[in-house]
This record gives sequence, structure tokens and C-alpha cells, in this order.
Amino acid sequence: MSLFTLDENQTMLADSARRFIERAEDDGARAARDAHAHGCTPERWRAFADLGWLALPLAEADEGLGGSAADLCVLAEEFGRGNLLEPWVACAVLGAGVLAEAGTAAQRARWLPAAARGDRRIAFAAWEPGARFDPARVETRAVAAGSGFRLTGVKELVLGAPGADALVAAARLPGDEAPALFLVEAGAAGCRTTAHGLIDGSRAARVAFDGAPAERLDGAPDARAALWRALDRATLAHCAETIGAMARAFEVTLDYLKTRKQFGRVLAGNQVLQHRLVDCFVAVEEARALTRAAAQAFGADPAAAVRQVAAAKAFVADAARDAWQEAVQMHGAIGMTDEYVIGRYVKRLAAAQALYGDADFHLERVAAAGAAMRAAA
Amino acid sequence: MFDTPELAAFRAQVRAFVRAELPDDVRATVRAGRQLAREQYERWHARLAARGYLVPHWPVEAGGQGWGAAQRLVFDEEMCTNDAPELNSITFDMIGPVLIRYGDAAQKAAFLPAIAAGTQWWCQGYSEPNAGSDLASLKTRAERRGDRYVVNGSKIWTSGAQYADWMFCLVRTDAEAKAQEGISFLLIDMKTPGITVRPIRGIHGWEVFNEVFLDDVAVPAANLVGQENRGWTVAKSLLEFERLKLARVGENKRRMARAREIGMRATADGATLFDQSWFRKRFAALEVRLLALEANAARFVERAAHGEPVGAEVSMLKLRGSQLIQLWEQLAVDALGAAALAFDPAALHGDGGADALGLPELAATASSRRFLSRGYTIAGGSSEIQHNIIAKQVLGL
Ligand SMILES: Cc1cc2nc3c(=O)[nH]c(=O)nc-3n(C[C@H](O)[C@H](O)[C@H](O)COP(=O)(O)OP(=O)(O)OC[C@H]3O[C@@H](n4cnc5c(N)ncnc54)[C@H](O)[C@@H]3O)c2cc1C
Ligand SMILES: Cc1cc2nc3c(=O)[nH]c(=O)nc-3n(C[C@H](O)[C@H](O)[C@H](O)COP(=O)(O)OP(=O)(O)OC[C@H]3O[C@@H](n4cnc5c(N)ncnc54)[C@H](O)[C@@H]3O)c2cc1C
Repeated sequence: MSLFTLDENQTMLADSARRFIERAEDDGARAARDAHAHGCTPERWRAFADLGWLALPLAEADEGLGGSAADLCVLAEEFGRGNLLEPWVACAVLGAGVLAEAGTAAQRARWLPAAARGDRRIAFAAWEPGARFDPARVETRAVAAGSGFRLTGVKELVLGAPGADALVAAARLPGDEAPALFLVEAGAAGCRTTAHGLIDGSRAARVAFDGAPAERLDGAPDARAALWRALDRATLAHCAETIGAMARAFEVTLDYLKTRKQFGRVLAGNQVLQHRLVDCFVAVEEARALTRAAAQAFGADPAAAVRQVAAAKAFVADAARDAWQEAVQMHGAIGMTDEYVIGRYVKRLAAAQALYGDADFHLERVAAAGAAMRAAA
Repeated sequence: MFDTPELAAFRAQVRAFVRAELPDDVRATVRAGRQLAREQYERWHARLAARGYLVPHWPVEAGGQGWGAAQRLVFDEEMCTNDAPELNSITFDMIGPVLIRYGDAAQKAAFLPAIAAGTQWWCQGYSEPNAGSDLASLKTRAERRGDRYVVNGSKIWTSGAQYADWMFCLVRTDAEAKAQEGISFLLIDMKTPGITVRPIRGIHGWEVFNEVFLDDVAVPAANLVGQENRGWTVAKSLLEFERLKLARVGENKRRMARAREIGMRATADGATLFDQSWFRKRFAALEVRLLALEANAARFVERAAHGEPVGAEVSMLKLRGSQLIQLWEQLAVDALGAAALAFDPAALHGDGGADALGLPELAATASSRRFLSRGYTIAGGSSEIQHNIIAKQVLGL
């Protein structure tokens, strides 16, 4: 198997995704999504289910298609390229992914086949205010109550939470250092969800638990490791989405500079802009190679791939920043408008800089992984 | 940093004034990083004008104070670091000085008093869809018919056109002449029939610039500034006014103060961001660049004070000052972390949406301000054009 060439199934996946997105993602669909309180219409989510995209991230045992991290990246790149803003990574990869990693057989059977069919959507409340993207910083408390638990605490930036049927969240049990994972059904008493938009046009929520009834996900011996596996897999998919958006932003910029004339010639005729276009192009290629290599490593052994996953996200975060800033600058004033196509990619890339952890957070992980390797040597 | 005793005394005076006189609601809007309403500007303009601080850089004969560059920089700095809004430079720094230099007696009498009182608003109609960096390729036509010009065409990126009373506009009056030679400079009343203004929403969520369509707009010939077909000279002179101000030292200090506040208020595990090495070092690195900018600007101020021309070299101040503002804005966003990812259009206009989310007030607009700041390296001669100017006119390439 080649690391960098798509296999036959992946090629088919990419082609069919691109065809679907080019056909389906028109002005009407965009307007419907923007107007929808969940940032995702039920028809769209149904279409994703019919295409098998919701089943792809899940194991065959959970009635999924058993897609690898690399497969997810192939699809995710098309999402980013087409600037789809539905919470596919947030719910189909991350939310369902945490449940798959940490749920018991019964919990998985109850939720995952339904998630794969598009009947249920699950979001993961990964971060708390002031935690600076570190999912291990958990102040939310869990106390036993009857046969279940009650959660109290606040989560922010819960991607895909508006309209989700269930939230998975980490909380600490009395006397325990390591957080455990819990599931809270949407609409439960003591669970207040305040939906808001993000700068890229997607939807998230701040979630305040105040004694919310919860069920513990206790199928994994080590909840923290389970959480990181699911989050790293989603981080890879998010990197691939970002790379798709960077690639498209680059193409749009290239086309624009090849057609816009100032001073009697096309802008792309200026060497200074040519070199910067080259740098944008190279950054996409490098980011994609790094992310693919990390996805392959993750497929082989998630625990051993931490350094590569974190490196991919740190790299992509900076590359996304450079990509949107260059796209704006090289477009001139039109690059700052909401209505012209590049504006949407600019906003997506600016958000992607920080989503799933910014460069600083992931560089710390790279450094920590390096230190662990030196200690082991 | 470079204050003489006289300048230090002057600085103290300006500081006391702005702290006492800036209306509270204006201060709050500026601190939150939101856009001011015209009415808010006008109350502030009135207080500045009463003190002689609205157009102090104009010559005394024209209603100003005749301040030099050094006083001007100190003044700007104090305004910026005490939460006064950035004033409309199109009105006070561009058209005012143009009329003082090129306007005839009737034009001066008609416009300067209202501008100096802060009650008349202007916009700048230079750019067109196909004339951006290459401004001289503009196509909007003005045809002389008796005592008026009839103007047809369209302008774009016209900042503040939706609020402006008047527009100064570059038009082509001779289609046969070489690019720069058939251009004239006209003053157009925005209420004239045939003008349509379409606001354009930016990626930041605000409507800052506009498209302005001109359809058989009749302009009195008396509104021509300078000679017909000699408008390019007038247009270019704008670039000479206030070139030192384009270092934007004050506006950089405003951003530094905001980033400092975020760094002190945002905490993780009980420690502020200033306790974290990544933030401390990035802040310090930008501080160093700001000190360099300030020192470099002071060098040009000194030259100007000795009556020496500042020359094309001064482009370096615009180049660096505009980039640095963007770096501060990016630092603010990074410092706020996840909180800066939320976007609520209501919060941009002060409807309190962000508070419902429990976000700190600065977070609600940080991302928008970061996007807004990208305009600094595009407008007023992009960074690429500044590089070209220095390459050609300074390095002789
Ligand atoms: C460590 C080292 C080992 C070398 N070993 C060998 C060797 O074994 N055999 C051998 O034959 N040669 C060798 N070289 C020479 C090398 O091939 C030349 O240095 C190279 O071709 C560049 O030529 P130059 O040094 O004359 O620079 P120039 O071509 O004069 O260029 C000077 C600068 O201008 C830039 N430049 C040139 N043209 C353009 C353009 N059109 N647009 C923008 N920028 C431009 C260049 O990138 C460079 O930065 C070696 C050089 C080095 C540094
Ligand atoms: C926030 C903002 C406010 C504005 N307000 C006004 C206003 O009030 N009134 C008004 O008239 N205009 C206004 N403008 C328009 C501004 O003057 C133009 O954006 C500017 O002249 C650049 O033109 P453009 O946007 O068409 O970009 P283009 O000229 O198309 O340039 C696109 C890119 O190519 C680069 N480029 C162009 N030529 C060269 C070259 N020869 N070599 C290398 N690179 C080159 C540019 O630097 C830029 O990066 C505003 C713009 C902004 C962003």
C-alpha cells in the first residue's frame, strides 16, 4: 500500500464526494444551512447518511463501514474544498467516535447504528472555558445519583451541539484524578445549551450542566486514552478539511491573479506575486503529505502517532493562517468582502487556525512527545 | 519615548483633555472594539472642535493650529491610548488639506468651516472595479455641458459613502489623453439625483465600504478643484499630506494596550497569559517592533522639523506600521483562544449578544477587528505598491 497515492476505494470516495458537493452545494443549499438554527438541515444529514459518510468512521461491528483515518481524510478534504460547514467531523467523526471508543457494547448498540443511519447525532463537549484547547483540563464534576450520575460544569465551543441528540462530556468523579466520560441526552433537565455561530459560519454551543442526569461510558479501561484517540482522529480529519479549503483558496487566488489586470498586465505577471503563489502551493502539498503520513501512522498505532498528529495540526494551523492572509492580500479589497467566494474560505481558514487546538497547543504536544521519546531511549 | 520637556507638557495637557472630555458611551464603544454611530462621532467632534483639537494640523488661517509633525504624533498617541476613536481621515486629513491648497476662495468658504466644525462628512471616490492599484486607469466619465459636468460610471470600496454628505471624486474628462492626463477632481453632493450607494458587507461583518453608482449625475462646474484634466496632481498631493501619520504609531499603541489587557485578564489555572512564555515572548517581540517603528518615525519627524523633505523613503513607515497592526490583532485573537471563534452579528453592533454567551467583551469583536485590520496593507497604496515605490524611487531599481 502506498502512503501517498489513493487506493481504488479512496479514489472512488473522493470522486463521488466531489461530484455530490459540486452539485448539491449551491446558493440555495448554503442559504438553507445558514438560516437553519443547527447549521445543518435534516435533508443534508440524511443525504450524508445515504452516501455512507456517517457510517464511514464507525467500525463494522457498530454497523459502520470501518473507514481508516486515511479514508476519513480523503472525504474530509472534499468537505473543506467545497466549504461544507455541516458538523461531519464534529459529530460523525468525533462525537460518535468518543462513544465508540469509550462506550460499552450495550451503549454502542444503542447509539452507533442509529448514528450511522443518520437517525441520531452525537456531539462531544471537548473544551472548558480557560482550558486553551486542552481536553484534559476538566473542572466539570460528576456525582453518583441513583443508577446514574449528575454533571455540573461548563463546556464551551461544543461543535455540532445545536440539534444533537446527545452530548458526550468528560467530568471528574469525587476523589479521581483522571476524568471519566459521560453521556447526556439532549433536552435533559439541568443541561442548558446556548447555541452560537462561529466566524466560519458553522454552529456550536456553550453548554452549562447543572446537575444534568448522565450515564457513564465505561467500556474503556482508560477513558483519557479513549478520549485522545477519538480527538486525534477527528483532528486529522479536521486537518484534511483545512487542507481542502487551503487548496481551493489557492486555486481561486491563482485564477483571480491570472485574469485581473492592473498596469496593463495580469497581476500574475509580477514575479513577487508568482513567488508567493508558489509558496501557497507548496504549503498545501507539504501539509497534505504530512497529514497523510500522520493518518497512516495513526491507523497503525494511535498511541504511537501522537507526535505526528500534533505535528500535522501545528503545521496546518500556521499554514491555514498564511493561506488566508495571502489570499486576502493578493486579492486586494475584493478579498475582504463577504459576497465574493474567497471570503468564505478566508473565514473558514481563520477559524481552522484554532479549532481542535491552535499551533501553540499542538507544538507543546510535539515537544512533550519528543521528551518522552528521549526519556525512553 | 522622544519627548522634549515642551512635548511632555503638551502630552499631559492632551491626556487630561481626552480623559475628561471623551463621552463615556464613545469610550465604551471604542474599548469594546465596535464601530461608532455618526451621532457619537459628532458629539466628540464638537468637543474637539471647541478646544481647537479637531483640525489642529491645518494652518492657522484655515482654522487650524498649525501644529508640526511631532505635536501631531503625540496628540494621536494620547487619543489612541485613551480610547478616543480614530477620526475620519478622509475628511480631516485628505479633503480639508486639498481644499486649503487647491480650492478657490468660494470652495474654501463653502466647505472648510463645516469640515472644521466636524459636521460635514466626506468620502473618497477614487477606486473603481478595474482601477485599484492602477488608479490612473479609471473610467468614470464627466462630460462638460454648459455650467455643469454630467458624471457616469461607478466607484467601489468607497469607505463611509453611506453616511457621507459629499464625495471627492476622480473622473475622466478627456478620454483621448494619456492615462494620468485626462483626469479631473470633482466635489459631488451625495444627495444629487442619479447617485446610488450599495453597502458591501466585509468578512468582518461590518459594512465599511460601498459601491457608488453614478448615473447622469449633474455636478456644478464650480465644484471642479484645480484645472480640468489636471486632477491627477491634486489627487496625488493627498499622498503627501500626513505621510508621517501613516506610521500609525498611535493606532499600534491602541492595539498593544488591548493585547496587554487581554493578556492580563485571560487566565488559565489561576495564572495570566503574561505568566506563559509563548504569550510573554510574542508580546515582547511586537513591543520591540513597535519601538523600532516609533524610533524610525521620530527620525522622519526630526527631518520634517528641520524643513527637509521626507521623500519616498517615508513609505517604509506605512509598510511597517500597517503590518504591525495586523500582528497585534492576530495576537489578540490567539490570546483569546476559543472565545474569539464565536461570531455574533448582534455583538458587533452592541446589542449585547456576546454577554449572553458569557464571553468577555473584547472577545466578541476580536476576530472581526483582526479581519478589518487586513485592509491596512491594501488601502492607501498596498504593501506591494509601497515596496515598488521604495525599490524604484529610493533604491533606483
Ligand atoms: C555551496 C555551493 C556549492 C556549489 N557547488 C557547485 C558545483 O559543484 N558545481 C557547479 O557548477 N556549481 C556549483 N555551485 C554554483 C551554483 O550552481 C551557483 O551558485 C548557482 O547556479 C547560482 O549562481 P550564482 O551564484 O552565479 O548566482 P546568480 O545566478 O548570480 O544569482 C544571485 C541571486 O539572484 C537570484 N536570481 C537569479 N536569477 C533570478 C531571477 N530570474 N529571478 C529572481 N531571482 C534571481 C538568485 O536566486 C540568487 O539569490 C555551488 C554553489 C554553492 C553555494
Ligand atoms: C479597508 C479599505 C478601505 C478602502 N477605502 C477606499 C475609499 O474610501 N475610497 C477609494 O477610492 N478606495 C478605497 N479602497 C480601495 C483601495 O484604494 C484599493 O483596494 C487599492 O488601491 C488596491 O486596489 P485593489 O483592491 O483593486 O487591488 P489590486 O490593485 O487588484 O491588487 C491586488 C493585489 O495585487 C497587488 N499588486 C497590484 N499591482 C501590483 C504590482 N505592480 N506588483 C506587485 N503586486 C501588485 C496588490 O498589492 C494586491 O496585493 C479601500 C480599500 C480597503 C481595503
